[in-house]
Amino acid sequence: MRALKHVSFFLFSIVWLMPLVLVFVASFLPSRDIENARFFEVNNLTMENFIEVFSRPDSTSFLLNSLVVSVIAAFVGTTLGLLGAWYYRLRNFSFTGFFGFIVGSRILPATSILLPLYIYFSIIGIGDSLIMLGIILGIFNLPIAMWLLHSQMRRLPREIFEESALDLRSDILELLWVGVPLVARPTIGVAMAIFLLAWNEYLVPLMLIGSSGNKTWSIFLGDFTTAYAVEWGPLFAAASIMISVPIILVGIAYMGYRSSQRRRGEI
Amino acid sequence: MIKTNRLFILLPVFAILFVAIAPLVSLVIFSVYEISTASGHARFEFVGSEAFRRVFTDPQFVQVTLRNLCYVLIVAFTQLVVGSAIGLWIASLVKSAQKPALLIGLVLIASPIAVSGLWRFLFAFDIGLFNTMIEGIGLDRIAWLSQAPLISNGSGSVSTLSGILSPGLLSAALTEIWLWSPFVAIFVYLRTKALPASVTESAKMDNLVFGQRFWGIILPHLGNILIVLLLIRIIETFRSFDILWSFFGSSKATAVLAIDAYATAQIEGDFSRASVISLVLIVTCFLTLLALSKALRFHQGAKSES
Repeated sequence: MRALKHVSFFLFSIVWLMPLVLVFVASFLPSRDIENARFFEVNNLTMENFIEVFSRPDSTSFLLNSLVVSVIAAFVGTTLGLLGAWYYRLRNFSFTGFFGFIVGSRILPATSILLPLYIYFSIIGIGDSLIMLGIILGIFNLPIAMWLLHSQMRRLPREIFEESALDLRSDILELLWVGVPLVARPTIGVAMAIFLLAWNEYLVPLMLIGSSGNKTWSIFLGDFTTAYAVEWGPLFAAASIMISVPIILVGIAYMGYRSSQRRRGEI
Repeated sequence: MIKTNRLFILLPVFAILFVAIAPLVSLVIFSVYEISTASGHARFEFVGSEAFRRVFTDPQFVQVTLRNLCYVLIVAFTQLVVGSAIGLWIASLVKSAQKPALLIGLVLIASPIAVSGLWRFLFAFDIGLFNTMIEGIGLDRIAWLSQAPLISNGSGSVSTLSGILSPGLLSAALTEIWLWSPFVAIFVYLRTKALPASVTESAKMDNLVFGQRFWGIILPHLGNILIVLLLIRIIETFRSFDILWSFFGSSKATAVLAIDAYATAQIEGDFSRASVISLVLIVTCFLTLLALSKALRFHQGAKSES
């Protein structure tokens, strides 16, 4: 009975993850094999879809744009989240007031918020900028960053801050030299989470980015679909690149976590 | 000691004011103005409640709002049920198999816009994998992405209610359920693991069957986390845009409020109407959350009284 439960879960996981696997498999198949649902023709594996994707004008810069925007978003979201969470730890505030206001703002649907921003940016003429896009995405994810970092900082004993306040001359120095090292790992985790959310974001760049040169990779995926046809091969190749980056990032973070555990003798 | 900590909180608060609250106030203002941003110069013309009148007298808008509510409730509740079942399934495996089982959560880091391309392929009528498999077992192909109403009123015309659901919308819902159920599963698994060992041991000694353990021990233990997860999924499904946009673009037959607001602003250039739709989206989202939390509180109150 127990073996049956395990085997059935294993089969269920394979079925559940199959769409992800198919994206990667299909990205190495010629379009005619994809259209005939011949996913397991290993002899026909080809790189032509990737070549097609990178032969499109500016495709490399779209990938770079996505990276730049995600890095800016991770930096802005994490920095602001650290500042807010640290303030609440210093003041020993509970989950009320401004904190609830910041975290609660996540309820607002993005489309509703983006519409006025789009109108403002069109008037001022600053919307079509990767830096602005990164800042907006960082602030959009600030509620998540602040919530996660606050839950970590709440665990730190108050005595640490009281002692360090005597040695250091300012709150900023206290945050940088005492607070950040104590929550270094969660901070990296939060930065990675915001990076992933910004990397996967579609609606915000779709609404705010106007020029084709500033497109992100998620918007570029739309280039393979027209009103009359879908270029399945290149679409899957571009999608597999989009999905691989977060998986690689999470893999690296997991390996780093395991090696740090090993160094500290926890394994 | 230099007291700079006020600045700490002011920066995040100003950031949220700039990106969330100011736009919210602006939406109210924009809804009573006709706005034109042609050639970089904004022209505002006061039109009063004209946009509200146009939106609320449009039968298609009522359909879009009802469709949005149906979509959110179908997706969020199914994610809760499916995710909880997976989470409990993982918790029932032997310890060494539990961590590898959590790999199912890999789908969470995949971009919705990237995976929706594949699901469109799976659902495609002529070349889709699902229809190839269905045909393989001798059945007729299914129009998974059809935007025709699911329930016909027989007369051939589409009424407000019969046009809410379509096979295409349910296919998009299936994609959302696939993508986000592991999110619920991971939290349910972690919460189940926090159940004290003494409780599970005594349940085993009493020879309780799964049904008795589920209703008597597991469900009361999971209660609060399930409510939080349901609220999170409702909020996130109201925000979701990518999958429906990738499947159907701006099609009115499957549009929800977020798609309608975007298409009205970006394609039709009607910002005042789009502002009204955006306001309705926010109000609908808040009212749904409020109604649900009231209902749950009422249920909890009734339960504690009994």
